[in-house]
Amino acid sequence: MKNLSDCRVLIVDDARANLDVLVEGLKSDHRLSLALNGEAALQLAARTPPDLVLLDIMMPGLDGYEVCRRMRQMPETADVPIMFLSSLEDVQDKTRGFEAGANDYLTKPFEMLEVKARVRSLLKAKAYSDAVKEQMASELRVAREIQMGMLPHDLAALERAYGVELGALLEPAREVGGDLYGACAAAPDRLVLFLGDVSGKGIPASMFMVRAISLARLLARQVVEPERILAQLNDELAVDNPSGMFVTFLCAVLDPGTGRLVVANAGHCRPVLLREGVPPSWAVRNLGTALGFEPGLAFERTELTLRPGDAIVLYTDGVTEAFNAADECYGNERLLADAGALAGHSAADSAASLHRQVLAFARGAPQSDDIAIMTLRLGDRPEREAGPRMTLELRATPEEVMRGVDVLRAFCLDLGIPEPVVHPLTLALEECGSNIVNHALQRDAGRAFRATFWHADGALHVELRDPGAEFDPTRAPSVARAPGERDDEVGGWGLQLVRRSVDRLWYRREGGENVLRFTKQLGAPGEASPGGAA
Amino acid sequence: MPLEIKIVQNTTARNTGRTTVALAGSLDTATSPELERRLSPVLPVCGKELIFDLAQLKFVSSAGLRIFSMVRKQLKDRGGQAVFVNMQPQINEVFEIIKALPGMTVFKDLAEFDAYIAARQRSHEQD
Repeated sequence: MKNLSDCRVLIVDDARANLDVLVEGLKSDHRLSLALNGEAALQLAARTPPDLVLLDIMMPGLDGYEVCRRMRQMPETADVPIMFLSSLEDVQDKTRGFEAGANDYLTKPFEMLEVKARVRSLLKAKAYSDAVKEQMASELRVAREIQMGMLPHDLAALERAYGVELGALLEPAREVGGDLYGACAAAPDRLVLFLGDVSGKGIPASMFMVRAISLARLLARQVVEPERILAQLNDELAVDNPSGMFVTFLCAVLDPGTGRLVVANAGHCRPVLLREGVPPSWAVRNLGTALGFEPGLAFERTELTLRPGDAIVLYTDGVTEAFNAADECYGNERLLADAGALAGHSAADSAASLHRQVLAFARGAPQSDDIAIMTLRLGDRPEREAGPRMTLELRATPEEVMRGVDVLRAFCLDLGIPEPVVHPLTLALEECGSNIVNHALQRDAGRAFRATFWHADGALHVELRDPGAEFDPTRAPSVARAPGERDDEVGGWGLQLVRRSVDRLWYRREGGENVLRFTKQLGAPGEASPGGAA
Repeated sequence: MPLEIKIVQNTTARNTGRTTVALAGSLDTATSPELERRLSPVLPVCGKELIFDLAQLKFVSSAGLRIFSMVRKQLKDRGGQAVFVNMQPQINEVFEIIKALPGMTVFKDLAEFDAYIAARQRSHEQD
């Protein structure tokens, strides 16, 4: 909080004698500025906003009431404490003073001690209220950081994994907002995007937004169809919702291998579909109902096939309802036209350009609503061409692990992968599968794990998923002991063999499942198996 | 791939001599319990040398290596040794990666092993 001695008091009075008395009384307590008339006072206040104003009423030119009213309209002095010092002592005069916006009114002749005391009191109250506002502002800044932290950050990893381009941005109208977007790698053939808008603004909207986004991310991994994701999200949000908040929501699931995009809409503005050489269009026809009103609703799906280079633009109504100074809104037609002009641009560029165009349109009018934009463009690089893929369900027995090994071997040989590369892959699968059976699934033949193999980007990929107890085979070798094993050294052999057999190995825990993935580069034909993933 | 196990014992009443275990196919998490079962009655009476002939072994995982390690230790405790011969390249590579069977004796083939044994016996006789 500011020191009282550092506070600046602006004294306004046309009589020099009065000024001298006040200066004499206050000069050792605070910094002072002086003005002999209303005009001078306003100019001085605009240049160097004071912390408090002592204002005479009867002055030539602008009287004190007018000065006070004008100060209340200037942003620099709208909140500054103003105290009238006047010989006018009727109740009407005092009332007029308070109605003009003053905080206090002292009649002349005054006791200097009383003036000093009231000045100090007003300054302390102001300093306290400033500190509270700063505290709130700083908490809102932290809330914004937390909220922004929930948005997906590593779009580059998703772009690489799925062969797409992604652009995304979010500008809250206040420190925290109710717009949201997300992108999840739900499965090798499932990229899930969502974008939504919570009713209202500020802290209540952002809290509902956090709830919606956390649920959506969880559902995206467990549920395949977007219309079912919306239905379950709606069922969850519609209960325990006493303030009746709702969220409009779009969910889109892309299979990058086929370009198939399935979109479900819950009352949100329709995304724009961009195809090169074709006019822009709306990606879905129906609007649907927003989430959170009542449980048990069903939602429709729209299926599209994206070709390489095609793009889809998702946005919130902060875009279409951006107003300019002439009270015109950006609107749907302008959006279609501007987005259409961006067909062929990269996804990131499209999102940024669209945002710039909206800002240029609004041209300085304050942003009334949160703005979120997300763009997806299907890559046209040849490596994106997804090759063959196979998925197996293997029960938790050693024999099933070896069945998986046999299938993998046949899959690789069919693709013409040479034996020196196939062998380490099968070894890695045997070791990892055994770990899953022995440790994560406890040799329970009634439980199963899923193995997926696919060929893409010049490498062979294997992903293993099991619903067992959390088990990260890439850590502490002693964990990888088979049941009954005593030798600590021996326990690390499986992991060593895996690491030396593959190029990349990584584990994550996702949606209640262990997910282990490894890849081996295939290299030029005839290359012997290279060294591995350390 | 299944595992075929052929055990040839060439031992004496005093438990000297050697036993050869020829493996064919795949020694992995599914087949290693079978090898353990077949070896368990043989180990106490296998003589001084247990030779694993791996000429036909196409696949080995850490499950198989554990059995080899256990056998090697048991034999060493009795003053004997476990020996591995005729390894295919990918099997040899696995042994190389692990490098964790200390004092593990690997010979290119049986002839090399026999020559080694003969040389050792000669040096014994000279002592």
